[in-house]
Amino acid sequence: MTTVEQRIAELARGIEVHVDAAFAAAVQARQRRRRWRRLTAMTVAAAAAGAAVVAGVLVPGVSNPSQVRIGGFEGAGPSPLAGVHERLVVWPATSCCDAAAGNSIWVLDLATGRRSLRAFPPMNGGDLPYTMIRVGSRLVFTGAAGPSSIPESLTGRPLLLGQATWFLPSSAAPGQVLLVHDPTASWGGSVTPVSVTDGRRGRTIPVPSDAAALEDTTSGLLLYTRSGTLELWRPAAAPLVLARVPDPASALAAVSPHDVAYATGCRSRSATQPGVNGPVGYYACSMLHVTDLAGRSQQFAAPAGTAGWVPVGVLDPPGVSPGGRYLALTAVLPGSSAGASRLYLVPLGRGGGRPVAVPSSARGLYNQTAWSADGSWLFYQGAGGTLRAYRPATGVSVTLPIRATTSPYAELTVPY
Amino acid sequence: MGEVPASFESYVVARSASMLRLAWLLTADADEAEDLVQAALGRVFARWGRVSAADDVDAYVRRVLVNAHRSRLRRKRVRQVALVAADAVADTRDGLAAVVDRGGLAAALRSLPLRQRQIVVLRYVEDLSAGETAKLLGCPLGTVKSGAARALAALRDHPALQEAGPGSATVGCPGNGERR
Repeated sequence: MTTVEQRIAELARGIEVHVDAAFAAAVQARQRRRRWRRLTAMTVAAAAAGAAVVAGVLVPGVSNPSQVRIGGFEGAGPSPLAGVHERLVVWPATSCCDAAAGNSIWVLDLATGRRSLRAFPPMNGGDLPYTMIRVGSRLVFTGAAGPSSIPESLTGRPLLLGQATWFLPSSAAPGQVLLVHDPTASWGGSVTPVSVTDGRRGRTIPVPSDAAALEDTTSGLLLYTRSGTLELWRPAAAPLVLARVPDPASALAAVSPHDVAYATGCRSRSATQPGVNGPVGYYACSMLHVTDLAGRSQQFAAPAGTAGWVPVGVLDPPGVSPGGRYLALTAVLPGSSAGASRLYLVPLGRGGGRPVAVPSSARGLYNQTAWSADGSWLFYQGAGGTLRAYRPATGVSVTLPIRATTSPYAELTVPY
Repeated sequence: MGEVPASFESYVVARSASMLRLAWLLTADADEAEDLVQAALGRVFARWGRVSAADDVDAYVRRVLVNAHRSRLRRKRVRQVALVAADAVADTRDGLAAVVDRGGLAAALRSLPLRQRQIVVLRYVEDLSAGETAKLLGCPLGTVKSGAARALAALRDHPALQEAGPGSATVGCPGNGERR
């Protein structure tokens, strides 16, 4: 008969611990990063304090771990966009939601080229339409506990907006998003408007049982239905059918406060992608349709030399620039089992014109994009893990001073 | 633990498994355990030149780890986590380490108040004397002895420890601070 003490020791000896050979290196790297950040913070704080004395003002310190590798990105040089007062939030798509890597994101100040690694609250994973958007002075994101908001300065505690599955932007109500309660993960459910600043909620609206919400517009809730229609809907009112699409969940190309874009003439394909296990399925479509909320429609054939438009489906639909002038959309190149593709800008509205290829945008299928707040710059991923910026008005395209290292895919948000 | 490796990296390679086991038993949470070990080793790394010259490096590192555990608990409430099943593999969050606790000792220890858990781990897993445990925890010797006795009494009925004899809990704190 063993004693309790002996049994404890016996059980403790039975505990198996497996440690990867990289553990020691990780410990050292973590400590070096901490030390480096402390040193940098002290240096910058001292410099800022000196500048404050000279200028008579206080200057906020900014860390700049330009050569530190973490989270799959690294700094690569000065910013070519001095004077562009935007900040770009970048994080690796494949590890956004991992408890370790997900708590760190890059903030790239385009005006100065400064790159900061910032702590960020845990985020939820999964196929979600929106991962992070800016609403007023706050960032709304899919937090681990539910949609949450945090000041755009990334300081302070996040505000949990609700226990919903995800959220949708609302152009109908400034300062709000829609919490989407989708218990069956398919049709129906309900939406609840909520203030991103104080969490105050509006009245919950049940969504028709054969429909799913896409966006809250000034003309009503934009829905797609099981029967294949895109429609505007208000409670207790007849829906306005904007378009009939065979497979709206997959053929949707973009949603904005003004337009909905979808593709037709689609063929299902698959391709291998770097960093992705197994083949990746996608649609290659011959025609793109853009319909504004008044029902006016434009069509764009797939660009010459491509095998078709690649709609993003109900995931990642926000490719329309603020103001609604352009739609950024990928077209797949022919004869490639790897799904090589190129990004195009589709001109929207009455100006007319043809889609224009974005320079140096050839890469894999899923090209995350983000627009500057004024719609003048498009940020996207280029070949070789680079992040790039393109100005449609001038045709200028530049490489940003940050590039992917371990992950070829990035999530991009422009918070300011 | 044997001869202390000269370089920090060698030390981590040689000792990280035992440190993770200690951290696992203190926290019963794989993520917390790896965090704790990383934090402790980080502090050691910053002072490795002096630490490696110490008489008992392992004791120093153990003290850093236990202190780090206490510090973390002071800063935040320990989140209540669902314990892994007895035969579960508790993978840590970035895949650098994993703990397999088939006997469910961490789950059993989790049923104890924090101080009693620390005492049991240090006394009966790390094999410290009551005096060493008291010194490391910064508490009176009597607290260690009474805490150990209460903890063993409580653990005696735990399913994970059912093979233990009925009278063993009463001998939880032999000696008077001397090494057994």
